[in-house]
Amino acid sequence: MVEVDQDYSTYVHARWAGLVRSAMLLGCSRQEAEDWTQTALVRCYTSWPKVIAAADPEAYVYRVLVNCLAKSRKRRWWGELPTAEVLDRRGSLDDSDAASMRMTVSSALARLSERRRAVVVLRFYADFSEAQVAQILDIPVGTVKSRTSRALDELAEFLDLTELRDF
Amino acid sequence: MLDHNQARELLGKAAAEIDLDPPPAATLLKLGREATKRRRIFRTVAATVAGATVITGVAFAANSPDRSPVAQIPETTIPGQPPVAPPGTRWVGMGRAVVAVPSDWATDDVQCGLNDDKSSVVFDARGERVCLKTFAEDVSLLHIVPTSSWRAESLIAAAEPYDDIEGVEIRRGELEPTRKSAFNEGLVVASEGVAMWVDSADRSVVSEILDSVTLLPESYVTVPVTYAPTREVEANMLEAGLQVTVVERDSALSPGTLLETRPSLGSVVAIGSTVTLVVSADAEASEWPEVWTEKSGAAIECVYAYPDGLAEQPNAFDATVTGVRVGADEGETEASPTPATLELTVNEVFAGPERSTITMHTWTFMLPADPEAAVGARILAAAGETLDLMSCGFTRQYSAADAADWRETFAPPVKGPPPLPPVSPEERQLVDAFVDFALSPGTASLSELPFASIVHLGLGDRLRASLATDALLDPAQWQLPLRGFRAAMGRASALELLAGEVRDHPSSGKLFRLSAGPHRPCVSSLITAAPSKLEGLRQISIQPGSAATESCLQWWSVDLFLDAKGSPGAGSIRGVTIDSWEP
Repeated sequence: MVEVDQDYSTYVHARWAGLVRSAMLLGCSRQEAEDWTQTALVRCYTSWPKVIAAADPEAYVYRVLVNCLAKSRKRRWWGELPTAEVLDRRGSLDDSDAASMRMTVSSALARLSERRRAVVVLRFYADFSEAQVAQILDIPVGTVKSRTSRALDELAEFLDLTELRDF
Repeated sequence: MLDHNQARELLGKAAAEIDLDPPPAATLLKLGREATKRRRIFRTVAATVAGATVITGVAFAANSPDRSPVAQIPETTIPGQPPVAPPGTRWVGMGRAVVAVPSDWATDDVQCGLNDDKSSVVFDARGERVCLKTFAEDVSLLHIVPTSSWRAESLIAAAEPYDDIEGVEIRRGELEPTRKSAFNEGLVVASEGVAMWVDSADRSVVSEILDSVTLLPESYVTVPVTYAPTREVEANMLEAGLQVTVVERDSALSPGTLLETRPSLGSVVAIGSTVTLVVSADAEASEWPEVWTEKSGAAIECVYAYPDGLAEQPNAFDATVTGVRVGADEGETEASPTPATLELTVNEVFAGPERSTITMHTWTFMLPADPEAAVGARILAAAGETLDLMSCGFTRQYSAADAADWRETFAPPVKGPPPLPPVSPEERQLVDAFVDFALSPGTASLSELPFASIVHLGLGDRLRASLATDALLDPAQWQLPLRGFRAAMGRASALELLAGEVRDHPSSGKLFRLSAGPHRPCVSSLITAAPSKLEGLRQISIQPGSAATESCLQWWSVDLFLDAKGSPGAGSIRGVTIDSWEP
């Protein structure tokens, strides 16, 4: 038990930030992102042997997260609609470059369909392979490829690249 | 377009902007331990409860569930008991998978038996028959069927991963709405063998029910749904870990017919609980009240309205009821509404073959409240070719005036379309070759057939696929999704229909009935139009020789569309469509 707890704590420390940021890039507010990451990680604790036995533990955890998110989205049809995301500008008000980068990327991502957005975030932020993304989203690899390609086309169109000096 | 590295860099930079607090590792660990402990308690304590307590939703203290995400972990805190149903709801389900429905919803075991004005839980395990009921717009239905049922097929196909409860995968998917402005969405829990969907005009009803899905602890189960005769119902209950008490109640139904279960089907009960089966007592027939003495409207109206649809019924007669048999025939299953068989002595035939006695199949809810009291009643009845009032038909109390109307309705010979042009010997050979191809699709059998370079496949008057010649070799390409076509679900393939008929009737002399030109679905007088792309082509309809005499539900037609004589490419097959009967 102690060993499990240590493994788990180490895991949480290593993965927390990546999971919360992924959830935010997927469209959650910070509060939602933290809540859902927490839910996903608690579920992982209750089935920890399954997590570490999974062929791809990382993908398993993300799969739990993505399913949690999907559930929360479906709930929005009828439930309390969360207020529109207010960008957290703490500490970045003066840093206009950085603020515009995050805002530009967020708003471009927000214009993608949920499916394409998920593929982009998992593939290029969480850095999963096409096969892993396919496993997480339970879709064929070919679909991952086609969604990725269309999503990148759209992203390029939605991004106001002139605002991003580095690109 | 962005390249992959650009996308990586862009998202990485954007994400790096997000300031985060350190991970709440200690909190997570605490929550995780608590969740694990709860699960363990379910398994150990609950397994030792030798309880006979019957749990129903109403018996629970109302307890508002916390909607914060962390609380999505089962809210149950009482060891050994199932989760508390949200206020004003009760759990209902199959196996260990349950959802919360409003407490005032009824539970019905067959959709066809429902009142049409009350929201209900429907266990339509009998659902092999197409139900003809239409429901008021504000009625919501929760259907629960085993995943082995064909009725679950389209939901299973549409469902995508949705949730994972203790390692049990829950899938969720949307279905085609069955009514205008309705929502239809469901869940599949494959490990419990259950599919359920909610059909409602109110989206929030659909969401609230489906969102509530949970799994019962292992020491609980739902009252199993069975339609077998009573002794088999008992066996099923025992198999589910439940005890059975049988009580009898006087009813008009045949002795031993299962009338209801207590608690109702799908309710949550602890393993070891006792379920009461209420069965029809062995009662002697009592006094027979006057029935059908008032002139009432049509006892049955389905897709045909009375009297406009009367002329379309191939059988119509004036007859006196001589016997009513209530309950399932040997080998059939029993449920409410119960099938009933009427024996009639014919006084006059208005339409259909001359005969002196007639046996009709119907449901008890189409008969007077006390079905056996129907004996002696003189009625006017009209029905389809199979005399199957379960499918469609009219009955009403006999009156001389109505009888005269009926006589007049059927007096002129039923006007049909002009006789169809006969099928030529060459066309018969073509059909034979097509059936050979259906039995063993391959290059050899394909080469015998003059397919056009693109062949259109369709259902009724709609095209659903266009195949190039090489694709025709793949039987999977012939599978067309029905998606509600003629109220059917699943898939259909012209090749399989033909091959199946040959396999099912290996020794039958006349397997198929062929006709040229547009066909009429089973007993209907309506002609199925050709898909617009195939209009004007020579149409050969291939219908099973056996089905029309058995039941319209088994009727189908595979139609070949050929280039007409004298046109370029005369005789080549441009299209193949499937049609079936719609109740």
